Amino acid sequence: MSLRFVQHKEGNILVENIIFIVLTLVFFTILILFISSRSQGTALIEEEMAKQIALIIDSAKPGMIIKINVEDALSKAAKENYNKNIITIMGNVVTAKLSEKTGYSYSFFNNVDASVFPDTSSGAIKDYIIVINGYK
Amino acid sequence: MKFIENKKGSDKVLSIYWFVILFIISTGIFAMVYIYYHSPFNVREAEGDIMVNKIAECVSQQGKTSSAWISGTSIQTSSTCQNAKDCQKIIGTKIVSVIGGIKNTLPADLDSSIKQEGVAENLNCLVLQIAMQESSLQHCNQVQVNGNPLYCDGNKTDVKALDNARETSLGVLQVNTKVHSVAAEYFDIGVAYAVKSVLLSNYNQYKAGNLFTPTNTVYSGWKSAIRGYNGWGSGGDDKYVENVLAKKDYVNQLFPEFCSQGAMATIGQKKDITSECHLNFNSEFKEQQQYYVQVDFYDLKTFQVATTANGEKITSQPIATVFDGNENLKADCELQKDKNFKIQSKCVEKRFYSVDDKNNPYIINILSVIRKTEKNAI
Repeated sequence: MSLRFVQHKEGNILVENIIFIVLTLVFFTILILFISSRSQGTALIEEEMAKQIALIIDSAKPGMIIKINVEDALSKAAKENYNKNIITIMGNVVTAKLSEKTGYSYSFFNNVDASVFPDTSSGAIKDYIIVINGYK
Repeated sequence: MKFIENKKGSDKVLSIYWFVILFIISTGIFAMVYIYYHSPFNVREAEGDIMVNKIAECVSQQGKTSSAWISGTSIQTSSTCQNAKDCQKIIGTKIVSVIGGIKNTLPADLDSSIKQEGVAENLNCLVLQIAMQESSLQHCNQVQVNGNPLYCDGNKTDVKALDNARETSLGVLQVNTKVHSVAAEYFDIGVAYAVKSVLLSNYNQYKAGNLFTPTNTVYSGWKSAIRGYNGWGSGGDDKYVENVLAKKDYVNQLFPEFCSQGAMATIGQKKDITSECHLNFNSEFKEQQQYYVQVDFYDLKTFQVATTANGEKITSQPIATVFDGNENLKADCELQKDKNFKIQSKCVEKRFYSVDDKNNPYIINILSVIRKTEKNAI
Protein backbone atom coordinates (compact mmCIF):
# COMPACT_ATOMS: atom_id res chain seq x y z
CA MET A 1 0.00 0.00 0.00
CA SER A 2 2.69 2.41 0.94
CA LEU A 3 4.79 1.35 -2.09
CA ARG A 4 1.95 2.04 -4.60
CA PHE A 5 1.35 5.40 -3.04
CA VAL A 6 4.95 6.41 -3.50
CA GLN A 7 4.97 5.25 -7.13
CA HIS A 8 1.76 7.13 -7.88
CA LYS A 9 3.09 10.28 -6.24
CA GLU A 10 6.33 10.23 -8.26
CA GLY A 11 4.36 9.86 -11.54
CA ASN A 12 2.25 12.90 -10.75
CA ILE A 13 5.23 15.06 -9.99
CA LEU A 14 6.92 14.18 -13.31
CA VAL A 15 3.87 14.99 -15.47
CA GLU A 16 3.19 18.22 -13.63
CA ASN A 17 6.78 19.26 -13.99
CA ILE A 18 6.90 18.50 -17.71
CA ILE A 19 3.68 20.45 -18.34
CA PHE A 20 5.03 23.29 -16.25
CA ILE A 21 8.33 23.41 -18.15
CA VAL A 22 6.63 23.14 -21.57
CA LEU A 23 4.19 25.94 -20.78
CA THR A 24 7.01 28.11 -19.49
CA LEU A 25 9.01 27.47 -22.65
CA VAL A 26 5.98 28.27 -24.81
CA PHE A 27 5.54 31.55 -22.97
CA PHE A 28 9.14 32.59 -23.45
CA THR A 29 9.25 31.42 -27.07
CA ILE A 30 6.20 33.55 -27.91
CA LEU A 31 7.78 36.46 -26.07
CA ILE A 32 11.08 36.17 -27.95
CA LEU A 33 9.32 35.76 -31.30
CA PHE A 34 7.21 38.83 -30.59
CA ILE A 35 10.23 40.92 -29.63
CA SER A 36 12.27 39.76 -32.61
CA SER A 37 9.38 40.36 -35.05
CA ARG A 38 8.91 43.87 -33.66
CA SER A 39 12.60 44.76 -33.68
CA GLN A 40 13.21 43.51 -37.21
CA GLY A 41 10.08 44.85 -38.89
CA THR A 42 10.46 46.67 -42.20
CA ALA A 43 8.73 49.76 -40.81
CA LEU A 44 11.36 50.14 -38.13
CA ILE A 45 14.29 49.70 -40.50
CA GLU A 46 12.75 52.14 -42.98
CA GLU A 47 12.26 54.80 -40.33
CA GLU A 48 15.74 54.36 -38.93
CA MET A 49 17.35 54.49 -42.36
CA ALA A 50 15.38 57.52 -43.62
CA LYS A 51 16.12 59.54 -40.47
CA GLN A 52 19.80 58.57 -40.40
CA ILE A 53 20.28 59.57 -44.03
CA ALA A 54 18.40 62.86 -43.52
CA LEU A 55 20.67 63.72 -40.57
CA ILE A 56 23.79 62.71 -42.56
CA ILE A 57 22.74 65.04 -45.41
CA ASP A 58 21.98 67.84 -42.92
CA SER A 59 25.54 67.60 -41.60
CA ALA A 60 27.16 67.20 -45.02
CA LYS A 61 28.94 69.78 -47.13
CA PRO A 62 29.12 70.07 -50.91
CA GLY A 63 31.66 67.71 -52.44
CA MET A 64 31.18 64.97 -49.86
CA ILE A 65 30.58 61.37 -50.91
CA ILE A 66 29.05 59.18 -48.23
CA LYS A 67 28.85 55.39 -48.36
CA ILE A 68 26.37 53.60 -46.13
CA ASN A 69 26.07 49.87 -45.54
CA VAL A 70 22.52 48.62 -46.18
CA GLU A 71 23.04 44.84 -46.27
CA ASP A 72 20.41 44.14 -43.61
CA ALA A 73 17.87 46.38 -45.30
CA LEU A 74 18.53 44.78 -48.70
CA SER A 75 18.05 41.26 -47.32
CA LYS A 76 14.80 42.41 -45.76
CA ALA A 77 13.72 43.90 -49.09
CA ALA A 78 14.66 40.64 -50.86
CA LYS A 79 12.44 38.71 -48.44
CA GLU A 80 9.62 41.08 -49.36
CA ASN A 81 10.37 40.52 -53.09
CA TYR A 82 11.18 44.20 -53.52
CA ASN A 83 13.86 44.73 -56.17
CA LYS A 84 13.74 48.50 -56.74
CA ASN A 85 15.98 51.15 -55.13
CA ILE A 86 15.42 51.07 -51.39
CA ILE A 87 16.58 54.69 -50.86
CA THR A 88 15.45 57.65 -52.96
CA ILE A 89 15.72 61.43 -52.61
CA MET A 90 13.07 63.74 -54.05
CA GLY A 91 13.69 67.44 -53.44
CA ASN A 92 14.66 67.58 -49.80
CA VAL A 93 12.86 64.41 -48.73
CA VAL A 94 14.58 61.05 -48.22
CA THR A 95 12.42 57.96 -48.66
CA ALA A 96 13.37 54.46 -47.51
CA LYS A 97 11.22 51.70 -48.96
CA LEU A 98 11.72 47.97 -48.34
CA SER A 99 8.46 46.62 -49.72
CA GLU A 100 5.73 47.61 -52.13
CA LYS A 101 3.28 48.42 -49.37
CA THR A 102 5.51 50.27 -46.92
CA GLY A 103 7.89 53.26 -47.00
CA TYR A 104 9.06 56.09 -44.77
CA SER A 105 9.97 59.67 -45.71
CA TYR A 106 11.86 62.31 -43.75
CA SER A 107 12.98 65.76 -44.85
CA PHE A 108 16.38 67.41 -44.46
CA PHE A 109 16.94 71.17 -44.15
CA ASN A 110 20.38 71.43 -45.76
CA ASN A 111 19.65 73.04 -49.13
CA VAL A 112 21.97 70.82 -51.14
CA ASP A 113 21.55 68.90 -54.34
CA ALA A 114 21.97 65.32 -53.07
CA SER A 115 21.74 62.13 -55.10
CA VAL A 116 21.72 58.51 -53.94
CA PHE A 117 22.38 55.29 -55.83
CA PRO A 118 23.48 51.69 -55.12
CA ASP A 119 27.21 50.96 -55.13
CA THR A 120 27.68 48.38 -57.87
CA SER A 121 31.48 48.56 -57.93
CA SER A 122 31.98 45.33 -55.96
CA GLY A 123 29.44 43.11 -57.71
CA ALA A 124 26.69 42.34 -55.21
CA ILE A 125 25.16 45.49 -53.78
CA LYS A 126 26.02 45.99 -50.14
CA ASP A 127 26.24 49.79 -49.93
CA TYR A 128 24.45 52.88 -51.14
CA ILE A 129 26.37 56.03 -52.07
CA ILE A 130 25.13 59.53 -51.27
CA VAL A 131 26.74 62.33 -53.27
CA ILE A 132 26.41 65.95 -52.12
CA ASN A 133 26.79 67.84 -55.38
CA GLY A 134 26.46 71.44 -54.20
CA TYR A 135 24.12 74.05 -52.81
CA LYS A 136 20.92 74.63 -54.74
CA MET B 1 -1.19 11.61 6.32
CA LYS B 2 -3.36 14.73 6.40
CA PHE B 3 -0.25 16.80 6.39
CA ILE B 4 0.98 15.14 3.16
CA GLU B 5 -2.35 15.76 1.37
CA ASN B 6 -2.25 19.38 2.34
CA LYS B 7 1.24 19.61 0.93
CA LYS B 8 0.05 18.29 -2.44
CA GLY B 9 -2.69 20.87 -2.54
CA SER B 10 -0.16 23.62 -1.84
CA ASP B 11 2.01 22.53 -4.79
CA LYS B 12 -0.92 22.85 -7.20
CA VAL B 13 -1.90 26.24 -5.87
CA LEU B 14 1.72 27.34 -6.21
CA SER B 15 1.77 26.29 -9.92
CA ILE B 16 -1.33 28.35 -10.67
CA TYR B 17 0.22 31.34 -8.91
CA TRP B 18 3.41 30.81 -10.87
CA PHE B 19 1.49 30.98 -14.15
CA VAL B 20 -0.44 34.02 -13.01
CA ILE B 21 2.84 35.76 -12.21
CA LEU B 22 4.31 34.59 -15.53
CA PHE B 23 1.27 35.94 -17.35
CA ILE B 24 1.53 39.32 -15.62
CA ILE B 25 5.24 39.58 -16.39
CA SER B 26 4.67 38.54 -20.02
CA THR B 27 1.91 41.10 -20.44
CA GLY B 28 4.21 43.75 -19.05
CA ILE B 29 7.03 42.78 -21.41
CA PHE B 30 4.61 42.65 -24.38
CA ALA B 31 3.32 46.09 -23.52
CA MET B 32 6.80 47.55 -23.10
CA VAL B 33 8.04 46.08 -26.38
CA TYR B 34 4.93 47.24 -28.20
CA ILE B 35 5.21 50.79 -26.84
CA TYR B 36 8.97 50.95 -27.47
CA TYR B 37 8.83 49.78 -31.07
CA HIS B 38 5.66 51.69 -31.82
CA SER B 39 7.04 55.10 -30.81
CA PRO B 40 9.15 56.79 -33.47
CA PHE B 41 12.85 57.58 -33.08
CA ASN B 42 13.07 61.13 -31.79
CA VAL B 43 15.86 62.76 -33.78
CA ARG B 44 14.77 66.38 -33.35
CA GLU B 45 17.41 67.22 -30.79
CA ALA B 46 20.16 65.95 -33.11
CA GLU B 47 18.53 67.83 -35.98
CA GLY B 48 18.32 71.05 -33.98
CA ASP B 49 21.93 70.63 -32.93
CA ILE B 50 23.06 70.28 -36.55
CA MET B 51 21.00 73.32 -37.54
CA VAL B 52 22.52 75.48 -34.78
CA ASN B 53 26.02 74.43 -35.86
CA LYS B 54 25.27 75.20 -39.50
CA ILE B 55 23.95 78.67 -38.65
CA ALA B 56 26.92 79.31 -36.35
CA GLU B 57 29.29 78.47 -39.23
CA CYS B 58 27.28 80.73 -41.48
CA VAL B 59 27.09 83.71 -39.08
CA SER B 60 30.66 83.53 -37.83
CA GLN B 61 33.46 82.35 -40.06
CA GLN B 62 36.70 81.67 -38.18
CA GLY B 63 35.47 83.78 -35.29
CA LYS B 64 34.59 86.79 -37.47
CA THR B 65 31.03 87.91 -37.94
CA SER B 66 30.11 89.97 -40.94
CA SER B 67 28.61 93.30 -39.87
CA ALA B 68 25.95 92.70 -42.53
CA TRP B 69 24.24 90.45 -39.99
CA ILE B 70 23.99 93.23 -37.44
CA SER B 71 23.53 96.26 -39.67
CA GLY B 72 20.00 96.65 -40.91
CA THR B 73 18.78 95.30 -37.61
CA SER B 74 20.34 97.69 -35.13
CA ILE B 75 23.86 99.08 -35.26
CA GLN B 76 24.38 101.12 -38.37
CA THR B 77 27.54 102.99 -37.47
CA SER B 78 29.23 101.64 -40.55
CA SER B 79 26.35 102.84 -42.76
CA THR B 80 26.71 106.11 -44.55
CA CYS B 81 24.27 108.92 -45.18
CA GLN B 82 24.23 112.01 -47.34
CA ASN B 83 21.14 113.94 -46.27
CA ALA B 84 19.93 115.00 -42.81
CA LYS B 85 17.01 112.58 -42.70
CA ASP B 86 19.10 109.50 -43.53
CA CYS B 87 21.67 110.55 -40.92
CA GLN B 88 18.89 111.00 -38.36
CA LYS B 89 17.81 107.43 -39.11
CA ILE B 90 21.31 106.12 -38.45
CA ILE B 91 21.74 108.13 -35.24
CA GLY B 92 18.27 107.14 -34.01
CA THR B 93 18.85 103.46 -34.66
CA LYS B 94 22.16 103.68 -32.84
CA ILE B 95 20.40 105.29 -29.86
CA VAL B 96 17.94 102.39 -29.78
CA SER B 97 20.78 99.87 -29.83
CA VAL B 98 22.49 101.64 -26.90
CA ILE B 99 19.22 101.54 -24.95
CA GLY B 100 18.95 97.85 -25.82
CA GLY B 101 22.38 97.32 -24.30
CA ILE B 102 21.41 98.84 -20.94
CA LYS B 103 17.80 97.72 -20.84
CA ASN B 104 18.56 94.83 -18.50
CA THR B 105 19.55 97.37 -15.86
CA LEU B 106 16.27 99.32 -16.21
CA PRO B 107 12.89 98.42 -14.68
CA ALA B 108 10.86 96.10 -16.88
CA ASP B 109 7.60 98.06 -16.96
CA LEU B 110 8.92 101.33 -18.40
CA ASP B 111 7.57 100.79 -21.91
CA SER B 112 4.04 100.10 -20.71
CA SER B 113 3.89 103.12 -18.40
CA ILE B 114 5.24 105.42 -21.15
CA LYS B 115 2.66 104.13 -23.60
CA GLN B 116 -0.10 104.34 -21.01
CA GLU B 117 0.65 108.00 -20.30
CA GLY B 118 0.66 108.71 -24.04
CA VAL B 119 3.99 110.53 -24.09
CA ALA B 120 5.51 108.06 -26.56
CA GLU B 121 5.09 104.51 -27.89
CA ASN B 122 7.89 103.18 -25.66
CA LEU B 123 11.17 104.19 -23.99
CA ASN B 124 13.13 104.06 -27.27
CA CYS B 125 10.72 106.50 -28.89
CA LEU B 126 10.67 108.84 -25.89
CA VAL B 127 14.46 109.10 -25.98
CA LEU B 128 14.32 109.64 -29.74
CA GLN B 129 11.81 112.48 -29.21
CA ILE B 130 14.12 114.07 -26.62
CA ALA B 131 17.12 113.64 -28.95
CA MET B 132 15.09 115.24 -31.72
CA GLN B 133 14.31 118.20 -29.48
CA GLU B 134 17.85 118.49 -28.10
CA SER B 135 19.96 118.09 -31.23
CA SER B 136 17.72 117.19 -34.17
CA LEU B 137 19.28 113.73 -33.81
CA GLN B 138 22.74 115.08 -34.58
CA HIS B 139 25.79 114.14 -32.53
CA CYS B 140 28.43 116.19 -34.37
CA ASN B 141 28.69 119.82 -35.47
CA GLN B 142 28.11 118.79 -39.06
CA VAL B 143 25.39 116.38 -40.12
CA GLN B 144 28.02 114.08 -41.65
CA VAL B 145 31.55 113.97 -42.98
CA ASN B 146 32.25 111.52 -45.80
CA GLY B 147 28.83 110.04 -45.13
CA ASN B 148 29.62 109.29 -41.47
CA PRO B 149 27.24 111.04 -39.00
CA LEU B 150 29.44 109.92 -36.08
CA TYR B 151 32.73 111.19 -37.50
CA CYS B 152 33.29 113.28 -34.35
CA ASP B 153 32.66 110.58 -31.75
CA GLY B 154 34.91 111.17 -28.75
CA ASN B 155 36.37 114.39 -30.18
CA LYS B 156 35.05 117.17 -27.94
CA THR B 157 35.81 119.99 -30.37
CA ASP B 158 33.70 118.45 -33.15
CA VAL B 159 30.84 117.19 -30.99
CA LYS B 160 27.67 119.28 -31.09
CA ALA B 161 27.77 121.52 -28.03
CA LEU B 162 25.93 124.33 -26.34
CA ASP B 163 28.44 126.23 -24.27
CA ASN B 164 27.45 129.17 -22.02
CA ALA B 165 27.64 130.25 -18.41
CA ARG B 166 24.78 127.92 -17.41
CA GLU B 167 25.78 124.79 -19.27
CA THR B 168 28.20 122.87 -21.47
CA SER B 169 25.88 120.40 -23.10
CA LEU B 170 27.37 117.78 -25.39
CA GLY B 171 26.25 115.28 -27.97
CA VAL B 172 23.03 113.97 -29.38
CA LEU B 173 21.21 114.18 -26.03
CA GLN B 174 22.99 117.39 -24.94
CA VAL B 175 24.09 116.16 -21.52
CA ASN B 176 25.18 119.14 -19.41
CA THR B 177 28.74 118.30 -18.40
CA LYS B 178 28.79 121.23 -15.97
CA VAL B 179 26.23 119.37 -13.87
CA HIS B 180 27.00 115.76 -14.78
CA SER B 181 30.48 114.34 -14.69
CA VAL B 182 30.36 112.19 -17.81
CA ALA B 183 32.29 111.92 -21.08
CA ALA B 184 29.23 112.78 -23.16
CA GLU B 185 31.37 113.43 -26.21
CA TYR B 186 31.31 109.66 -26.63
CA PHE B 187 27.99 108.75 -28.20
CA ASP B 188 27.37 105.45 -26.34
CA ILE B 189 28.44 106.81 -22.95
CA GLY B 190 26.40 110.00 -23.35
CA VAL B 191 23.21 108.21 -24.41
CA ALA B 192 23.43 105.55 -21.69
CA TYR B 193 24.07 108.23 -19.05
CA ALA B 194 21.26 110.50 -20.29
CA VAL B 195 18.71 107.70 -20.20
CA LYS B 196 19.69 106.14 -16.90
CA SER B 197 21.04 108.95 -14.80
CA VAL B 198 19.06 111.93 -16.09
CA LEU B 199 15.73 110.83 -17.56
CA LEU B 200 15.05 107.81 -15.36
CA SER B 201 16.47 109.48 -12.28
CA ASN B 202 14.06 112.41 -12.72
CA TYR B 203 11.18 110.00 -13.29
CA ASN B 204 11.89 108.13 -10.07
CA GLN B 205 12.30 111.38 -8.13
CA TYR B 206 9.35 113.40 -9.44
CA LYS B 207 6.81 110.93 -10.86
CA ALA B 208 4.41 111.66 -7.99
CA GLY B 209 4.25 115.30 -9.19
CA ASN B 210 6.36 118.45 -8.95
CA LEU B 211 5.70 122.14 -9.53
CA PHE B 212 7.58 123.87 -12.34
CA THR B 213 7.61 127.37 -10.93
CA PRO B 214 8.41 129.42 -14.08
CA THR B 215 5.04 128.43 -15.59
CA ASN B 216 3.35 127.36 -12.36
CA THR B 217 2.64 123.94 -13.88
CA VAL B 218 2.64 120.66 -12.00
CA TYR B 219 4.17 117.81 -13.96
CA SER B 220 3.89 114.16 -12.92
CA GLY B 221 4.77 110.74 -14.32
CA TRP B 222 6.88 110.77 -17.48
CA LYS B 223 6.12 114.46 -18.08
CA SER B 224 7.99 115.21 -14.86
CA ALA B 225 10.91 113.12 -16.18
CA ILE B 226 10.93 115.14 -19.42
CA ARG B 227 10.68 118.41 -17.49
CA GLY B 228 13.50 117.32 -15.21
CA TYR B 229 15.65 116.47 -18.23
CA ASN B 230 15.67 120.17 -19.16
CA GLY B 231 15.82 121.31 -15.52
CA TRP B 232 13.31 122.53 -12.96
CA GLY B 233 14.83 126.00 -12.59
CA SER B 234 14.40 129.10 -14.72
CA GLY B 235 16.51 129.83 -17.78
CA GLY B 236 15.67 126.67 -19.66
CA ASP B 237 12.94 125.95 -22.17
CA ASP B 238 9.64 126.62 -20.41
CA LYS B 239 7.74 124.70 -23.09
CA TYR B 240 10.20 121.81 -23.13
CA VAL B 241 7.67 119.09 -22.24
CA GLU B 242 5.20 120.28 -24.86
CA ASN B 243 8.00 120.55 -27.46
CA VAL B 244 9.16 116.97 -26.79
CA LEU B 245 5.59 115.65 -27.02
CA ALA B 246 5.16 117.52 -30.30
CA LYS B 247 8.00 115.46 -31.78
CA LYS B 248 6.01 112.24 -31.35
CA ASP B 249 4.47 112.16 -34.84
CA TYR B 250 7.73 112.98 -36.58
CA VAL B 251 9.63 110.28 -34.67
CA ASN B 252 6.86 107.72 -35.27
CA GLN B 253 7.08 108.41 -38.99
CA LEU B 254 10.87 108.33 -39.09
CA PHE B 255 11.17 105.13 -37.02
CA PRO B 256 8.11 103.01 -37.72
CA GLU B 257 10.15 99.88 -36.90
CA PHE B 258 10.43 101.04 -33.26
CA CYS B 259 7.55 103.47 -32.79
CA SER B 260 4.54 102.37 -34.82
CA GLN B 261 1.54 100.92 -33.00
CA GLY B 262 2.50 97.53 -31.56
CA ALA B 263 6.12 97.77 -32.74
CA MET B 264 8.58 95.56 -30.90
CA ALA B 265 10.35 97.41 -28.13
CA THR B 266 13.44 95.37 -28.81
CA ILE B 267 15.09 95.19 -32.17
CA GLY B 268 14.30 92.23 -34.28
CA GLN B 269 13.66 91.57 -37.91
CA LYS B 270 12.75 88.71 -40.13
CA LYS B 271 15.71 87.93 -42.29
CA ASP B 272 16.13 85.43 -45.06
CA ILE B 273 18.43 83.19 -43.02
CA THR B 274 17.44 80.21 -45.15
CA SER B 275 19.06 81.56 -48.30
CA GLU B 276 21.97 83.20 -46.43
CA CYS B 277 22.88 79.89 -44.78
CA HIS B 278 21.74 77.46 -47.51
CA LEU B 279 18.79 76.06 -45.61
CA ASN B 280 15.50 74.74 -46.95
CA PHE B 281 12.54 74.94 -44.60
CA ASN B 282 10.17 72.98 -46.84
CA SER B 283 9.28 69.54 -45.57
CA GLU B 284 6.93 66.63 -46.05
CA PHE B 285 4.51 68.51 -43.78
CA LYS B 286 2.72 70.78 -46.24
CA GLU B 287 0.31 72.48 -43.84
CA GLN B 288 2.85 74.52 -41.86
CA GLN B 289 6.58 75.21 -41.63
CA GLN B 290 8.35 72.90 -39.20
CA TYR B 291 11.35 75.10 -38.43
CA TYR B 292 12.19 78.36 -36.65
CA VAL B 293 15.61 79.91 -36.13
CA GLN B 294 16.60 83.04 -34.22
CA VAL B 295 20.00 84.65 -33.90
CA ASP B 296 20.53 87.19 -31.09
CA PHE B 297 23.59 89.44 -31.00
CA TYR B 298 24.63 90.74 -27.57
CA ASP B 299 27.26 93.33 -26.74
CA LEU B 300 29.94 91.43 -24.81
CA LYS B 301 30.55 94.43 -22.54
CA THR B 302 26.99 94.47 -21.24
CA PHE B 303 26.24 90.73 -21.56
CA GLN B 304 24.82 89.19 -18.38
CA VAL B 305 23.32 85.86 -17.41
CA ALA B 306 21.45 84.81 -14.30
CA THR B 307 21.63 81.31 -12.86
CA THR B 308 18.20 79.82 -12.23
CA ALA B 309 16.99 76.40 -11.11
CA ASN B 310 16.62 75.42 -14.78
CA GLY B 311 20.07 76.59 -15.82
CA GLU B 312 21.39 79.88 -17.13
CA LYS B 313 19.11 82.64 -18.39
CA ILE B 314 20.32 85.60 -20.42
CA THR B 315 19.24 88.83 -18.73
CA SER B 316 20.77 91.29 -21.23
CA GLN B 317 18.81 92.69 -24.14
CA PRO B 318 20.16 91.77 -27.59
CA ILE B 319 21.47 94.64 -29.68
CA ALA B 320 20.21 92.89 -32.78
CA THR B 321 17.97 89.94 -33.53
CA VAL B 322 17.25 88.16 -36.79
CA PHE B 323 14.88 85.26 -37.27
CA ASP B 324 13.31 83.09 -39.92
CA GLY B 325 10.73 80.32 -40.18
CA ASN B 326 7.53 79.65 -38.29
CA GLU B 327 7.39 82.20 -35.45
CA ASN B 328 4.56 80.32 -33.71
CA LEU B 329 6.95 77.55 -32.70
CA LYS B 330 8.96 79.82 -30.42
CA ALA B 331 6.26 79.73 -27.76
CA ASP B 332 6.99 76.01 -27.26
CA CYS B 333 10.47 76.86 -25.97
CA GLU B 334 9.00 79.01 -23.20
CA LEU B 335 6.76 76.11 -22.16
CA GLN B 336 9.69 73.71 -22.01
CA LYS B 337 11.85 75.80 -19.74
CA ASP B 338 10.36 74.12 -16.69
CA LYS B 339 9.41 70.72 -18.07
CA ASN B 340 10.12 68.76 -21.24
CA PHE B 341 6.88 68.05 -23.10
CA LYS B 342 7.29 65.32 -25.71
CA ILE B 343 4.68 66.61 -28.13
CA GLN B 344 5.99 70.19 -28.13
CA SER B 345 8.56 71.40 -30.63
CA LYS B 346 12.16 70.71 -29.69
CA CYS B 347 14.32 73.74 -28.96
CA VAL B 348 18.12 73.77 -29.08
CA GLU B 349 20.10 76.83 -28.01
CA LYS B 350 23.83 77.58 -28.17
CA ARG B 351 25.93 80.68 -27.78
CA PHE B 352 29.47 81.65 -28.67
CA TYR B 353 31.85 84.58 -28.84
CA SER B 354 32.67 86.43 -32.03
CA VAL B 355 33.99 89.77 -33.27
CA ASP B 356 32.85 91.88 -36.21
CA ASP B 357 34.87 93.57 -38.97
CA LYS B 358 35.89 96.32 -36.53
CA ASN B 359 36.81 93.87 -33.76
CA ASN B 360 33.74 94.77 -31.69
CA PRO B 361 33.12 91.74 -29.46
CA TYR B 362 29.74 90.01 -29.42
CA ILE B 363 28.04 87.07 -27.81
CA ILE B 364 25.88 85.35 -30.40
CA ASN B 365 23.01 83.18 -29.22
CA ILE B 366 21.38 80.83 -31.74
CA LEU B 367 18.04 79.16 -31.14
CA SER B 368 16.66 76.46 -33.42
CA VAL B 369 13.19 74.98 -33.06
CA ILE B 370 12.12 71.79 -34.83
CA ARG B 371 8.49 70.68 -34.81
CA LYS B 372 7.97 67.45 -36.84
CA THR B 373 6.01 66.14 -33.84
CA GLU B 374 4.05 63.54 -35.82
CA LYS B 375 7.23 61.81 -36.97
CA ASN B 376 9.18 62.02 -33.73
CA ALA B 377 6.86 61.91 -30.77
CA ILE B 378 3.46 60.42 -31.55
